[in-house]
Amino acid sequence: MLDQEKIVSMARLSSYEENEGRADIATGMFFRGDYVGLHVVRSVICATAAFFIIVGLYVLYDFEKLMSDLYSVDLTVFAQMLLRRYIIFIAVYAVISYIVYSVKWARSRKRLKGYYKSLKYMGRKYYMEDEY
Amino acid sequence: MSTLLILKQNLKFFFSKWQTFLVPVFKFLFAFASLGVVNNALGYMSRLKSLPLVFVAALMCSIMPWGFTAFVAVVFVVLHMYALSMECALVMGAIFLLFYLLFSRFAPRDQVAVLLTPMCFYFRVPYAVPITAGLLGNPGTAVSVAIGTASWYMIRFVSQNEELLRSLSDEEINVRVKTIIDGAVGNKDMRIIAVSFAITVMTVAIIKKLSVDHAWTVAIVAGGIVEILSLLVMSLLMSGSLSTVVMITGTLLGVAVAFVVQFFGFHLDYSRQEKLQFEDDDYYYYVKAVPKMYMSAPEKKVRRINRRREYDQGPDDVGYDDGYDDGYSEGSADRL
Repeated sequence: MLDQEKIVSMARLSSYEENEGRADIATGMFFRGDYVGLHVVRSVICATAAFFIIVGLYVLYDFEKLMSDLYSVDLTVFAQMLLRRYIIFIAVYAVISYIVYSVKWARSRKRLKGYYKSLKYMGRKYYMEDEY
Repeated sequence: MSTLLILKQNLKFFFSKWQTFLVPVFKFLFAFASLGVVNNALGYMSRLKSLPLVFVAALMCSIMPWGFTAFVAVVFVVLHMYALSMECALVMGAIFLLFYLLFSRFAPRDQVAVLLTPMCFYFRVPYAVPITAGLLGNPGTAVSVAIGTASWYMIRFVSQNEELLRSLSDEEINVRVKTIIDGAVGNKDMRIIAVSFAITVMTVAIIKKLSVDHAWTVAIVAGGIVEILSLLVMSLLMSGSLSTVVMITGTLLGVAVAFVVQFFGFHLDYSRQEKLQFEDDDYYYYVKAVPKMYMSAPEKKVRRINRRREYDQGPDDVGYDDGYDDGYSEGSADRL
């Protein structure tokens, strides 16, 4: 005879595996530090590219002013200012990334725990059925 | 209300039964509509306006993830702008690239909101976006809605100033870029709407998560009030040119749409809620369980009142029972 409870549990587990479970299982293969660290490094690379795009747009936008100031501005001071802004931008973005990916890792871990708990429960249920 | 609940149940049953076919069909229609909007709003590259191309692109979107539709729409926008002016394409491409690099990595699902917001602007129902986006998304969706708003104003600026942009082709590249950025990003109305929408999305998304009764209703009403107030206050502060009547009626329409979304997504029966407390080895649990409003569809009973007289056809048919309650018993036969 069909066990309705078992069918519902199996359907839920299967649906989880098909959808967000895939990403969660991939996340679960990492330790927290490795997962967050990897994504923060990726974020820093993306933020660097984004910073250069912003600078490029700014140069195009204010090209005349930049050219007129080119000989009056101390280029070392200008480069330092640019570097300072880059570091602040990267630091803020890295901190945001760290928080976002830490929360993501914790949530996915929680869902995975529930998933493995359900798998264990199903395993026990099958074992009990075999016994009796 | 019971009729609506039955309709909802039937719709849910229908969607779950035909989900495999309906999802690609909806993706196709969404992609087709969004590419059509892009072609109508811009349409500078005639090749992209050809129906077979749009059809094939939408067909590809129907079998790909939602993000692919957003990508194809962005490619269409950038190519149309390139046909008008290279600088437009450069600025628009840079804005989308910045969005992808800085934000989209955190919330890839919110790319749909970036696409849906300009579409709602095109169909003149922009004020319906933030409350619904807050209900269906999270506080981070605010960035997607703001980017979508900025994209629409950029597209509108380009389509309204086509002649100006063409006439700038003799100028230096920096003059052209400056004109485009000043015209599109410097638009006061765009800033007012983008910031107000972002505040509304965040308010709704935060309130709907609260553990209070009727959280979604409170979120919708609060979202409506916050949207109107923030639009009015920012409009006054920044001397915007938004119409107050349109703003208020649009927000009320948005609230109505949000209530429809709530009916399908979060319709609970608070009169039957239960509060439970229990413990295990590690935790003490305070659980509030609120049942969903549910009404099963009444079963249809077929009642035949003019049964054929089988027993007239021959002796073998007499007493044949086909398993249906046809309402034709000896007693009822006399009445008929």
